[in-house]
Amino acid sequence: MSMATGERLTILGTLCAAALLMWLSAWPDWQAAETRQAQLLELERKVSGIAQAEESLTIETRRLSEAREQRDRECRRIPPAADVAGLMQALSLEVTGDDVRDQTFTVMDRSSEEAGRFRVLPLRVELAADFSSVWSVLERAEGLSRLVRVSGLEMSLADQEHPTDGAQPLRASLTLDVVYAPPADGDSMP
Amino acid sequence: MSMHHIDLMPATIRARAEAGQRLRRTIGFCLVVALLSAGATTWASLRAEQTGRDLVRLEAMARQSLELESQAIACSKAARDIEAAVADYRKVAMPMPVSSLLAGIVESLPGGTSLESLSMEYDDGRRMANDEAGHRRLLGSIEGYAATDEDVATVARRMTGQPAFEDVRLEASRSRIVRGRAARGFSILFTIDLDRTFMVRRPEDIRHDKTMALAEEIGQ
Repeated sequence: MSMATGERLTILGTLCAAALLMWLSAWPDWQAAETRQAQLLELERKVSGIAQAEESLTIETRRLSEAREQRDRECRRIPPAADVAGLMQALSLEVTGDDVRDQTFTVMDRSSEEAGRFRVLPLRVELAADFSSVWSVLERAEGLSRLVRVSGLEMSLADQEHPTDGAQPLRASLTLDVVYAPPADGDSMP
Repeated sequence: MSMHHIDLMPATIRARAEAGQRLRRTIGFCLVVALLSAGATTWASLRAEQTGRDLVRLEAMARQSLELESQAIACSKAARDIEAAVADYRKVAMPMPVSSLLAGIVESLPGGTSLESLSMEYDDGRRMANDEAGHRRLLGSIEGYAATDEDVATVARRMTGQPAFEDVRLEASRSRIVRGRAARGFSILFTIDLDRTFMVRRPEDIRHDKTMALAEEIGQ
């Protein structure tokens, strides 16, 4: 083999080795870098909004906190069932024949829908009692942890023809709207 | 004098010199090619590593950003749900306890005035035909007796002075005898707008001794 041929082969080998190196290492790395660069641009665009996202989260968290505070401050619980028996038990007075002569609970009608998510069942409480007892039932109804709407109140002296001094017996009728939210209607008070 | 060029270098020496030059050129060329390819490969490798590291860092930040966005969306939805539920609650619930209204009526009674009957009824706008739909109010009436016409007027005036009571109307006033004494029977109608908001006195402030439970002596 002549000197010139050896040199040509050396050059050819060097070029082949260089091409092989480029093909097997540099080209894949370059392609990977190009792909990642495109991904980086997309991610940088998203990350640039991180401050805005933090601000948005702060605002929404405050709004949620205020909404919860308002709900806890303003709203009473609305149970999933009417539980008329429990309500009667809570409002029941001891009939002594003295202060309380009679107390009658009557479910007046079937429940109806209100505000799209609630059911309302009218319940009448009739009392023959003194004012303090009637007041006690009214206060109990309005002091319950669950929502009961007092939608009617009628009171009159039992004997209007002959009013007397001192505590007089009254006939009172309270109409209570028992508000509840059946589970099928979804969570009533999130 | 002749100007002929005379080459005194032997052909073998010249050939060796030329071969040495070619060899140096070849080695130089190969070195340059090797350096260029190694440099390009190193550069590509370093760039790939760098972009890989940047990608990991930015992916973590982007995940955080997406997480923040999803949390903000979840908070916003929860807040909207609660606000809607509270708005629906307000449509159903009374804005003030009826007991506080009753206390307000009782406190409007001057001394010597007694109630004989009281009525309050919830109306969601269906009872009054010309009323706008969904306008909620309480329709109320009281009947009782007072010592004089002035006391009857005082009842109506005091009720009118309370922010909760609207459209307070003295419906009737008639003379009557209560336990052997002259008195004025009265009937007052009123409404309470349940779509307004106003402050009402706490029901604990009511004094039972001023109610119709203890009918006071007329004219005392």
